[in-house]
Amino acid sequence: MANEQTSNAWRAVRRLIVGLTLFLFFALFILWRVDSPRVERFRMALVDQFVPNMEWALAPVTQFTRIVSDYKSYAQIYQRNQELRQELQRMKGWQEAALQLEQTNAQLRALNNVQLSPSLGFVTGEMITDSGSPFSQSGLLNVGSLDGVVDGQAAVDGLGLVGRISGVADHTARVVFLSDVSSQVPVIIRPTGQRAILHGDNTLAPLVLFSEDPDDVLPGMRVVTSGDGGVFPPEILIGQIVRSSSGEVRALLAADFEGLEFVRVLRNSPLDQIIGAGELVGDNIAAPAPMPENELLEGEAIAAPPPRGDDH
Amino acid sequence: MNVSLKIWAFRAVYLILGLLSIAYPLLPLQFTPVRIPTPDLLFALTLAWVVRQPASAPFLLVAALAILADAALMRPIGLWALLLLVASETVRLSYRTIQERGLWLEFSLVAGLLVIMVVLQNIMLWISFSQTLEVERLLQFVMLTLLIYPVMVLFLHYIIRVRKPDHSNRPDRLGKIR
Repeated sequence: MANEQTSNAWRAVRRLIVGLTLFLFFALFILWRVDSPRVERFRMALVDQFVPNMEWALAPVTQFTRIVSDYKSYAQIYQRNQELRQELQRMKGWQEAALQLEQTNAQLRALNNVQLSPSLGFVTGEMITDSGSPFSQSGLLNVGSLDGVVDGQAAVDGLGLVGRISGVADHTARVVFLSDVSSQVPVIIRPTGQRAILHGDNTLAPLVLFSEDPDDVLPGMRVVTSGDGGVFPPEILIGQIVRSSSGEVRALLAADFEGLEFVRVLRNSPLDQIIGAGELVGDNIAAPAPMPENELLEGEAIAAPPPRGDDH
Repeated sequence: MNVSLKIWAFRAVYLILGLLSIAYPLLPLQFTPVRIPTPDLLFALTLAWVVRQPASAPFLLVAALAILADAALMRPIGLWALLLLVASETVRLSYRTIQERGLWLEFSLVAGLLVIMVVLQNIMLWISFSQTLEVERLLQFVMLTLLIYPVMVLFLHYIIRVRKPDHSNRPDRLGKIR
C-alpha cells in the first residue's frame, strides 16, 4: 500500500519535472531569439566547462585520422616533390623581386618620414573543435578572454584571414569563419581599390557583393580587408577574385581551411579616436570676436589662438 | 540492491556514450564547408536506449545531454533539446508496446518522430524569424540518422548489452502464468 502511494507521488513529481524542463527549454529558445548575446554567453560558458575536458578523449581519434590522411599523401610523395621544386624556383624569383622592392620601399619611406602604425600584436591558439554542424561554419580556439581575446578580433592563419572572434569564454573562443552565412566583411579589391562586401554562403569562395563596378572586378585580383567599420585592421589578405560559371563574383579564400590547426588572433591596439571637432572650431571662435579693428587691418591671425600653445 | 547497482552502472554508460556522441562531430578534422551533415548520434542512442531500458536513461540525464549538445553544436539553444525530450518521452510512454511489436514498428516510429522533429524545428525557426535550414541538407541529415539507427541498435544489443527484458517470463494482467 505504502509502496503504491510513494510510486504515485513519484509519478506526479516526475510529471512536474518533465513539464518544467520542457517549459524551461522552450523559454531558453525564446530567450535565445530575443536576447541572443546573453544566451550566447551562457552557451560559451557551458562549452568552456565541457569541451576542453573532452579534449583528451578527442585527441587520439583526431591524431589517428590525421595520420591516415597524411599516409595517403605519402603515396604521391614523388609528384609532390617535383611540384614543390618547381614552385620553389618560381618563388626564389619572387623573393628577389620582393627584397628589391622592400629596399626601395624603405628608402622612399625614409625620404618621406612616414609614421607607420604600430604593428599588430597577436596570440596564437589551436583549433580544438569545428562547429559540428553543416549549417554554421565556425570553430573553437583554445585561447580565451584570459589571453586577451575579445569579441570582434580578426583570426588569421599564416596565409590569410580565417574569420572573426564571436563568443569568448575564459579559456575558449569561437571563430566564425568567412564562409559562414552570417559573416560579412568590408573589403577592398586590389589594385583597383574598389570597395565591396564579402558575404559568406557556406562555400570556400564567398560572394563579393556591392562592388562599385562589378564588370571592373577581374579574376586574379587580390581581396584585402578595408578596415571600414573599425572591426578588422586594414590590409589583411583574404584571397583572390574568381568568377563562377554563373557569372557571380567570388573570392577564393587564401587561408588553408583544409589544414587549419593553428590560428593567430590579432590584437589590434585601438587607434586613437578623434573626438569632437577640435577646439579650433566652435565656441572659441565666438569668444575672441571683439577684436580691435586695427589688428585685423594689420593682417594678423583671425582664428582663435591655438589652445595648447606652440609645440616648439 | 544488485539490480539498482546495475541500473546506475548502465546510467553511467549511457552518460559516457552520450558525451562521446556529442564530441564526435566536434573532431577538428575538417574546417572546409563542403561536406555531408553528420548524423545525430545522440538522437539514435537515446531513442534506442529508451525503448530497451527506459529506467537506465532517466529523463533528467537525457535533458542534460540534450542541452549540452545544443550548446556545443551551435544549434539554436533549447529547440532541438526540447524536441528530443518530447520524442524520448513519447517512446518512453509506450515502450512496452514497442518492445512487443518488434523492430519494424520501432524503426518506423523512430523515423516518423525524426521527420516530425525536423519539420517542427524548421517551422519554429520560421515562426521566430530565425534562419531556416536548407531542405536538401535536412533530408541528408534524416537519411543518415536513420541509417545509423539500426547500427546503434546492434551496437547496444551486442556490445553494451542493453537488451529488452525477456517477455516469456513476465506476468501479464492476470498474474504470472507458467
